Amino acid sequence: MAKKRSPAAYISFLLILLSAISTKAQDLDTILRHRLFFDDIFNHVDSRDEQASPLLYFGNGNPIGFGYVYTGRGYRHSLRLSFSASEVNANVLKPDLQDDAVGRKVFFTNGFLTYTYEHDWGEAMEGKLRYFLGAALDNVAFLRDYKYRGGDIYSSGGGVAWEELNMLSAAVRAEYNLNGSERIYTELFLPVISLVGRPGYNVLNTNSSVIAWSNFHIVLLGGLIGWNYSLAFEQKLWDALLLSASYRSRYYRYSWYGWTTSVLLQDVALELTWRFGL
Amino acid sequence: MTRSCKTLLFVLLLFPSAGCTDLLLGSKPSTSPTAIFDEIWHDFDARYALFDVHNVNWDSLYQVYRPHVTDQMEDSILAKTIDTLLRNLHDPHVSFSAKINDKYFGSSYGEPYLDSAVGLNRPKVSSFYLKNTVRLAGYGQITYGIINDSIGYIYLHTFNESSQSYHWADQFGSVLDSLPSVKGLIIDIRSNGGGTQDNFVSISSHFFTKTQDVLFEKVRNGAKHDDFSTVGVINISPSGKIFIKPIVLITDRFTVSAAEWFTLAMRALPNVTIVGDTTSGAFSARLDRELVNGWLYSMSIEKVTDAKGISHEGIGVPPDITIHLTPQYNASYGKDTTLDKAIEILSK
Repeated sequence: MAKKRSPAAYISFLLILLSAISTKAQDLDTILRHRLFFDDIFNHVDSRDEQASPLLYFGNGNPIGFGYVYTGRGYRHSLRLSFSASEVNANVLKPDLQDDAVGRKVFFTNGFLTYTYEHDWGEAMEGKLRYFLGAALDNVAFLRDYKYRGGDIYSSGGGVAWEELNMLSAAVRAEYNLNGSERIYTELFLPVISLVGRPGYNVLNTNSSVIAWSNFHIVLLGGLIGWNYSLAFEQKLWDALLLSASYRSRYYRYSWYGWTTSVLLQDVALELTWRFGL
Repeated sequence: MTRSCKTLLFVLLLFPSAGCTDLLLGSKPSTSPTAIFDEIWHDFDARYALFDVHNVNWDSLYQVYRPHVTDQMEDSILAKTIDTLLRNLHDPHVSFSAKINDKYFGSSYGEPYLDSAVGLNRPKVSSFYLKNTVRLAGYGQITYGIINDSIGYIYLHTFNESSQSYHWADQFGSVLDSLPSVKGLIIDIRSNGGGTQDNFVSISSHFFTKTQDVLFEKVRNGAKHDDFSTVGVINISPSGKIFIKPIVLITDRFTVSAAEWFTLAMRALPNVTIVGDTTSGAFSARLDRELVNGWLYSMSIEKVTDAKGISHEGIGVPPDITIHLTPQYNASYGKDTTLDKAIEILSK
């Protein structure tokens, strides 16, 4: 009969293994080229979509995020994904209305996929401060099901609005090494050109078609105003294991047939990163 | 540290946007009476699809009602003014509701003759016609049974959907399975207020032996009142248990929206006779909306025609055989004359 091991024993074994894998790592920076990370995010969403409603809708959630970073000599690739859905890992959005007797709400799901390439731009302060320039392909999909008269997700009535944004953004990143095991970094993406998808003239209802190519259009710099900004503090636990606390702000605003949609998402996240490979 | 590097770091560190919500998302729009009136008028002007069908000059109505609206007026007077404005549309899919001083004010704007029409008395149908054969299906959305041992009867309460009755229409095939030996079927959609396109398609699919175009629709898609999308086709394909014996479909003035789509679709079949009263005449998709002060309203945003391109909007679908229920119907335990006519047709 096999002896049952406790979860703590498994975790200890895993940490020892990770430590052994990374024994050659000496620094927080670029020696270990691969990073896999997982984010536990606390999130606040504010959304005003004039095509669907003049009211501001807001809510909190606990999205899940994860991703991969490859660090080369003087450059880095990263891929980051996060998503949330009301009733799963987020609350429904509620209106900014003092007296809402009908219990109106917005069921939603959103997803964010960001690929970034950044290259060394320069350094200062004897190499403690490094900064990078690059580009990001930043994708947003956000579906909102407005229940103006309350009810649940299966209730008939209401209107469905969505946007699908594919933004090619300029990216800038700065990293400041406090010491060998602690670092602050910040990153900003600003969209330059975007492919914006949006339902047709009226928000959807049960009798309208869902997606048509005519619902997508190209928006140049200024047509879509937005950013994706982050500020993080990173702590090395072991050579292979990093822990970060970060603040992320994502904002976009665009107009469609004269109706403006603006969305602000603010995240506070704890990120656990595993580094490996020489 | 270079000057550009310092500037970059300064900008990045000061970027957080918390506290700038009003600036980024816009401050709350005005809730003054004039702003509210203008908001609802402009929203109808921008989205409503049936000004020409109901022969309404929306600009003229603004000139008539807007001078009466002032920022000093009470909410109840404003609500009454909006109510009067929307009443000009005579559209059952146009509605307005407001909560004022903890009391609800609400209206929908169908044709006046609906007020005097006599609706179905369902308990009477169960007691006098279905008797002990009466059954419920589809989470209570379908009542069915057998009349005179040979005629199937199905009453569809709605085409709508809710969490309590999610996908109820999927059970329609099993209802037909439970009526195997009937020589004909009565489908009663009196007082059916409509619902979703999915349920309309799902139920209709049990009566078609081949794919058939049944409706055309085009959606308002621009600022001008005559801006519409290209025409979309709604067709029905056979699915599941198919019923091809004689059918009598019973309609009345309270048969509305998706129930009227069902009426138009069934009318295209050679084995269907429609008995009762003309339907309501509200075919468009209904779009729910809300004002910045929380008041709710709805409107029609598309035009729908039958497979021949004929619009019944504001008119309704006439029956093949007209039977009006009299006001005495609900007051007494007299016969349901419409149902009697349906039974007579199927008994031949």
